[in-house]
This record gives sequence, C-alpha cells and structure tokens, in this order.
Amino acid sequence: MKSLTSNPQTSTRNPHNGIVEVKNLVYAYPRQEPVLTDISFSLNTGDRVALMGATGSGKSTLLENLIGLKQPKSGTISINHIPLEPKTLPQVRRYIGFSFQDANDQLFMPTILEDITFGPRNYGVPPAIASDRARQLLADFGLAAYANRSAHELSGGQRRLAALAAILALEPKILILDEPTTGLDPAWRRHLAQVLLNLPVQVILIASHELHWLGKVTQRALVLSGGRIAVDSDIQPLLQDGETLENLGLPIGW
Amino acid sequence: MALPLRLHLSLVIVVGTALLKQHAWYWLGVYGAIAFIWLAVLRPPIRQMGGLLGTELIFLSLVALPLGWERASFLLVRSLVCLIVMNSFLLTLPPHSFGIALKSLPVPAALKENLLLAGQYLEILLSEVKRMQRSAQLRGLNGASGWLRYASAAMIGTLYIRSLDRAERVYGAMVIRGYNGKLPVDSIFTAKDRFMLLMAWAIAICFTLSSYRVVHLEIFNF
Amino acid sequence: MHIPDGFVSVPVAGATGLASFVALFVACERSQQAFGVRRAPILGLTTAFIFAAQMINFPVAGGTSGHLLGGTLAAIILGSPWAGMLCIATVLIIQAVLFADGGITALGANILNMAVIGVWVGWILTQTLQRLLGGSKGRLPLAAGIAAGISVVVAAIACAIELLLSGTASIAVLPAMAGVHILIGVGEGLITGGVLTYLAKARPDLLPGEQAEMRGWVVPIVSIVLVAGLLSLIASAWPDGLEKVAEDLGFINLAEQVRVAVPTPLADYGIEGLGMIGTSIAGLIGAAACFVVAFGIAKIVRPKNA
Repeated sequence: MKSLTSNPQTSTRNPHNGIVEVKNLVYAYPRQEPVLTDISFSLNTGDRVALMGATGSGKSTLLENLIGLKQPKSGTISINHIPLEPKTLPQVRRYIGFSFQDANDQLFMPTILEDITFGPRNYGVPPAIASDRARQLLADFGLAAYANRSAHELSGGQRRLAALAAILALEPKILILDEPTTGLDPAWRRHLAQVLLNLPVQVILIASHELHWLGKVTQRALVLSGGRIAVDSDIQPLLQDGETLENLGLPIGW
Repeated sequence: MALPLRLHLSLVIVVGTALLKQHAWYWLGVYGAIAFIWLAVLRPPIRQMGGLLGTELIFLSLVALPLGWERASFLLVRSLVCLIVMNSFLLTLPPHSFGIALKSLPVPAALKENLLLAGQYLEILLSEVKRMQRSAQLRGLNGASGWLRYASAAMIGTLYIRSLDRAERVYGAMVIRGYNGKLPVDSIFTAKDRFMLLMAWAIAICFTLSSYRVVHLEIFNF
Repeated sequence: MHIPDGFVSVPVAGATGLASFVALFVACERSQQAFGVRRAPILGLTTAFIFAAQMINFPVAGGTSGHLLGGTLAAIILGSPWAGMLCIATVLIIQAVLFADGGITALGANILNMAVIGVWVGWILTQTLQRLLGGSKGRLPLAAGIAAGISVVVAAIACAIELLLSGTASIAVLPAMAGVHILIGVGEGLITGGVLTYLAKARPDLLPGEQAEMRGWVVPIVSIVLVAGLLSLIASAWPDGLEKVAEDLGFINLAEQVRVAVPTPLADYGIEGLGMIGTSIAGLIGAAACFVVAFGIAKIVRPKNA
C-alpha cells in the first residue's frame, strides 16, 4: 500500500495550535468496544476537509464528539483554543455550526425565519437584529419568499440550505456537515458545492460518501479506518489512488 | 387575512355562541348570521363542509334527542353554528401551517412549546404512518386477527421508537444552537389586529350576556 | 368521547376549565423537573407520536377496529403521569383547534376527562395491578392493558356526568356512555398491552423496570375502591334491593339531603332520575368511608418501611 504523507501545500498549518485540535481521542459506546481508538488531527484556518470512511467506521460518532453531544472516554479536544469540557460547552458551541444528516431535525420552529433566529436569540441577540440577519441569509440563499412559511413547504435541497442558514446565523468559525448531500439530486449537489465554496468560515469539515463531490469542495482528506485516522493527506492524490481507497472500504466509482 | 387573526376571530365566535343561554333563539340567530358571514368571507369548500357537519350531527342527535325536541333542537343548532365556524377555519388552512396556527394560542409557555414542536413534527410522523400502512398493505396485510393485532402493535411500537430517536436528534440540534430550556416565541399580532380582536370580544360579550338578560341591549328594540 | 361545543353549560365549562388549568400548570412544573432541558423535544415528539398513532387502525374483534386514545401508554413510556397529561392535553387542543374534534368551550371538560382522569387512573391502576400480579417487569403489558381499559370507562363516566350536570343529555347517557366505552376500553387495553409487549421485546431499555416499592396504602385503597365501584354497579342493577337496604339502614335520608345539593338542571328530570344518582352518590360516599377506615388501619397496622 502506497503511503500518502502530508503534502505541505495547504500552507498555514500549525500542527499543534489549530482551530480544531484533537489529541488521542478514544470513544466507546457504553459497555462496548471502542469505536474510535486513537484519533489525532489538527485543522487550521483555511482548511476544507473531507472526513471519509466506510459505513460504521465512526464518522458521525467523531463529529458528535467534536460538538460535545458525546463525551470521549479519553483524549482531548480543543476548539478555538478552548478545551472542550462540559462547562465550556455553551461557549464553544458558538464557534461551531453543525449540520445533521436529516435537515428536518434542525427545522423545528413553525417558520423558517424563526428557525434561523433561534440560535442568535438563545445567545441574547435582540429579536430585531436577529431577524435582519436572518432575512439577509435567506436572501443570499434565494429563500427570501419562504421566510414566514413552514419548512414543510420546501424541497429537500431548499431544506438543506435553510438548515445551513440556521447554522450560519450564529456566524460560526467552524462548519461541520454530516452527509450534506443526502437526498439531493446532481443539480442541488452542485448548488450546495457553490454555496460552500463561498462561505466566510475558517474551517469546513464534511463527512460524506460522495467522493467526487468531496473532491470539488475540499482540499484535504481524513480517512477513518479501524478506529484511527488511516490517511491524512490532500484529497486529489487520494482520489487517484484506487487501491488505497479500496483497502479502506471506499471503492471509487461506485 | 393573516392566519392567527383568522383563528382568533373564529374562536371568539365559537365561544360566544357556545356560552349562550339555553333557548336564546334570537341571539343564536344573530350568531348564526355571523357564522354565515364568516363562511362567505373564508369560502371553504362546501361539499367537504357538508360531509363533516353531517357526521357530527348524527352523533349529536343521538345524545340530545332524548331530551325532548325543543331542547334538543336548540342544542343541535347551536352546535351546528359552532361547527360551521371552526370548519370554515380549518378547511381554509393553508397546507403545512399547523405550527403557524398553533403559535398564536394563548397558553402557558411549557404547553406552547409542546404544541409547537408537536405541530411541527405531526406532518412528518403522519406521513411515516401512511408509508408504513401502505407498505404493509402492499405486502398483503391479511390474516387472523391475532396476527393483524401484532402487526398494528408493531407499527405503533416502531413509530414510537423512531420518534424517540428523532427527539434525541432534535434535542441535539436545539442544544448546539444554544437552547437552554426556553423556546424563543414572539407575539404575532399587530396593533391593528389586536384592536380588531378587542372589538370582536367586546361585541361577543355583549351579545352573549344579553341572552342572559344581564346586559340589555337597547339598539335591538322589538 | 370528545364533547363538542354547546354541550357544556357555563358553570361546568368554568369549573372543568379551572381544574384542567391548575392540573396542567402543575404538570408543566413536574415534567420540567423530570426532563429538564430535554422536555420540549421529548414531550413534543411523543405528543406527535400519540397523535399519529391514533390514526392507526387496530383490529379489536370480529371485523371491528378501534383506535388508540393513549393516556395510559403515554404516561408509561414517558415514565411520568404529569408528562402524559401534557401530551394528551396537547393532542386534545390540536384536535379541537385544527380538526374541530371536540369543542373549544369543552376543552376544559375534555382535558379533565381524558388528559387528567384518564391518565391518572391508568397510571395508578397500572402500578397497582402490576404489583398485584407479582410485580415483575413482564407483567407490565397486562397490567397496563387492563388499567388502560378501565381508565377509558372512568373517563367516559366523567364525561357523562359533565353532560348531565350541563343539562345537555338525559340520564340515559350514563349507562350508554359507560356501556359503549367498555367496548372501546377493550380496544384500548389490547392496543396498549400490544404496544408495550412489542416495546418490551424490541427496546426493553425504554420501559420502567421492576416496580419500586409503592407507598403502602395505595394498593389496598385502590383495591377497595375498585371493589366498591364494582359492587355499586352491580347494586344499581337491583335498585329495589338497594333501596330496601338503604331504607333499613337510614341511607334514604342521606339521599334526600344529597338530592337538594344536586344542581337545578336536573330538577326537570323528576325524582326517578335523581333517585338513581342519589344511589350512585351514596355508593361513592360508602367507598370513601371504606377508604378512610382502610387508610387508618393501614397506617396503624403496617410498619412505615414495609
């Protein structure tokens, strides 16, 4: 198996002081063997990273650890130089925008506008300012007409965008997306890619199975296998390496 | 007319009608006229309205008729007026607007949060039920009643497990956007709406109290 | 048994409305304590689930099918009768406002019957029956099924009483409602038991464990009330017999005094109707007397931490 080492092309990488620092993370479900045995990586400003792995490799679990929805057995996570601990959670969560696989789980208010103002208002932003920010985001995404309508009126792709807007309302530095292309047709996948490429966030981490799509949206790839980060490299060379991908359970072209 | 205002005006008419004194036929007639005006304003599909009213009335007659014709007829007409008003409202509800309608109800905070979230996920769960039933039918749901009962119990049980899983995900989605136990909900009535509602309540109170001869309205001199 | 608009009188609507409001207020507080920050999503989704589950056809017997009401089921799967109350009350509000199923002015009564009485009777009976049947986890579906069935009938009786007190139904409504709802109760019991059996197999972690020690007096009291209620029902089938006994023991005088206390709408109905109610009320008073005696005995006889 060819070894793929880090290509220093993606510049400003400071290996120990990234915006997202994960060191020796171990996670196990209660009374089960660890699913993540030793995860370490560092994400810096400007990184657009793909998180790949076969089904069951623990991608979603890792993401949920990053956002504090699951507590690791051991190891440390720090977000924006703040260690992730139960008492720092509210503070840290301001910096992260997390998108779930099912957009419906994130659109729980009666109207789209309220979904988007939900986050800011929880953090004390006055309703008028939150509304203005929300309307701006909706206009940017072409959903201005739906501001006072229910999420159920939107198509799958529109819901994905609305959920994204709801997260961006908090102006996060780090965007984490779990399978954002689920249920989207090719045109919508392209539209989403274009939106993501133009976002003013510092780090984007996307967990996905869509290797080609990832190749268009991200520059770096982390591959989970056997509970560890088996590969941490630029994504283009990895996508050319069919043999390695096959060995990691990600046969390309399928 | 905005949805919350429509809902509240419907509620005013219904409450005013339902609390009329027994046998106050005159005032029932007034409310009946209001109900028909409301019907004309909202324009619900008449056939569906007829269907809904018909089934309700059959049941009500069974309960009320033993009381004697005079009493029963008043009760039935009164109920009919209320049903016309509420059905006019709900038959003209725009699709997917459960949450928006429920948002405006004057209930305490915890109950309102429950109403909103339930209203929001109702549609999703109802379509899950439809899909489950359809796939069961396509697989030829037929057989001994014991088996059918097992299948139905399994459907309900599965629905519950799925909704619990979804509840955890929704909780996660809420908490990472800073949720701390209070849902930020706004008042949604403009000053003009509030004025209209106040007038409507005042009129209804006058009408209904008049039926008890507590307040005697002089304008209707007979 | 959703009471429509116009079938509750102003005093009944007011009284039931107040009772429901207070009950819901307490329920909000208690469920906040029980669930914390998770309350809104868990209760909200469970409420939506109950609503959706009520749409599922459940075959009861010989071609007829029933539908879930869900009070007992909600309380058990949430582990809290207060949370169960909130869920059912929310379902009723949605049904009244968005589906014209149940009146707006009747919401107080409907919530009291189905969300408060239905849930609490189901909850208490489940605990009691489970203990009476041995207390093991496996007995939960059976206990809950029976409890759910009974709770439906009790709620229907409450509904009938409210209609009577409002003067919008004749005395015949009491046996009619109770009778019809015995059938509905069977369906409710089957569905509740069936769903809990399924959940016990699929996700046993979701259901409560072995029954914790209930406060000592609940089991004997509930058993006595059940027995007294049953006896009253049987006795009411033989009014002459009970009247004779009542005469002998001086109960008739009690009925006379109760007759005066009953609100006026019923005066139109004549003395026979009142007589039957007088008997039922006497039965309830008798049960209450038994309760007081049994409570006293239980307190004296049973050591505190038995």
